[in-house]
Amino acid sequence: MNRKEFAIIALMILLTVIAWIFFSVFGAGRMTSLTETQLKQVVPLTPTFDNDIIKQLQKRED
Amino acid sequence: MQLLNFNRSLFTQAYKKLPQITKNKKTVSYFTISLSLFTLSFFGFFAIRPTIITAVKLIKSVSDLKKIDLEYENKISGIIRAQTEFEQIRDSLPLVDLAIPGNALFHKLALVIENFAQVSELSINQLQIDNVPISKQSPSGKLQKYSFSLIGIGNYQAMSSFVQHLINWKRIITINSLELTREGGTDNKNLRIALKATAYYEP
Repeated sequence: MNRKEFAIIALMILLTVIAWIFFSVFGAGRMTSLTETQLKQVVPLTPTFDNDIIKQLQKRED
Repeated sequence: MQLLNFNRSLFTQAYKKLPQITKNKKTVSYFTISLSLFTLSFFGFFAIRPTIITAVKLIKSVSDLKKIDLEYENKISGIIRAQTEFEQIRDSLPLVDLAIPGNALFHKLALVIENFAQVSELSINQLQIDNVPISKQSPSGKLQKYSFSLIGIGNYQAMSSFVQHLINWKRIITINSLELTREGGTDNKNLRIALKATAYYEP
C-alpha cells in the first residue's frame, strides 16, 4: 500500500464517520422523549355540555 | 525487561529512519494528511458524535417538555371549566339517565306505553318487544337499542295524543314507521295504528 492509497483510505474513513455522525444526530433529533402515558394524558378535553339538550329534556314528560 | 529492551530498539530504529522519511517532502505531506484524517475520524467517532447526540437529545427533550407542559396546562384549565359546567348541570343529570337508561328497562317501556294509551283512550291490541338482555350488562360505553312494535285501535285524536305523548316522553324513542288504516267499514271512525319504534339504553 503506497502513501497515496493510505491517504485515500483515511479520507474515506473520515467521510464515513461524518455521514455516521449526521445520521445519528438526525435520528436523535427525531426521537421523542415523551412516554405513551404522557401522550395519552394530554389528549385535549372538550369542556362543554350541550345545555340545549338538557333544556329540551326538562320540557319532556315523565 | 526483555520487552522493554525490544521496544527501546524498535523506537531507536524508527527514530533513525525518521530523517530519511522526512527528507522526502511529499511523503511528509501525505503522512501529515493521513494522520490528521485518522485523528479527525477517531475523535469524530469517539468524542464529537456522542457529544453532539447528547446535545441534540437534550435540546429535543427540553422542547418536548415545554410542549407537554403547555398541553398539561390546557388540560388542567379544560378540567376546571368542565368541573364548573358540570356543577351547573348536576341537578339535571338524572334527566340524562331517564333519556338513555343504564339497562333496557323494557317493563317500564311497556308500562309507560300502556299508561299513554290509557290517557289517550287508545286500546292496545298487541305490543311486541324485541329480545333484550335481562341481566345487568358490564359498562361498555356503547349505545344499545331494541325495537318494539304495537298495534292499537282508536280514533284520530287518540292516535295523535298517543304519538304526541310518546314523542314527548323523557326516554328517547325513535319512531321508525307509523301506519294508520281504517278499521272495519268506511263509516267507522276508528283507526288502526301500527307503530314500529326503537328504544335506547347504554350499559
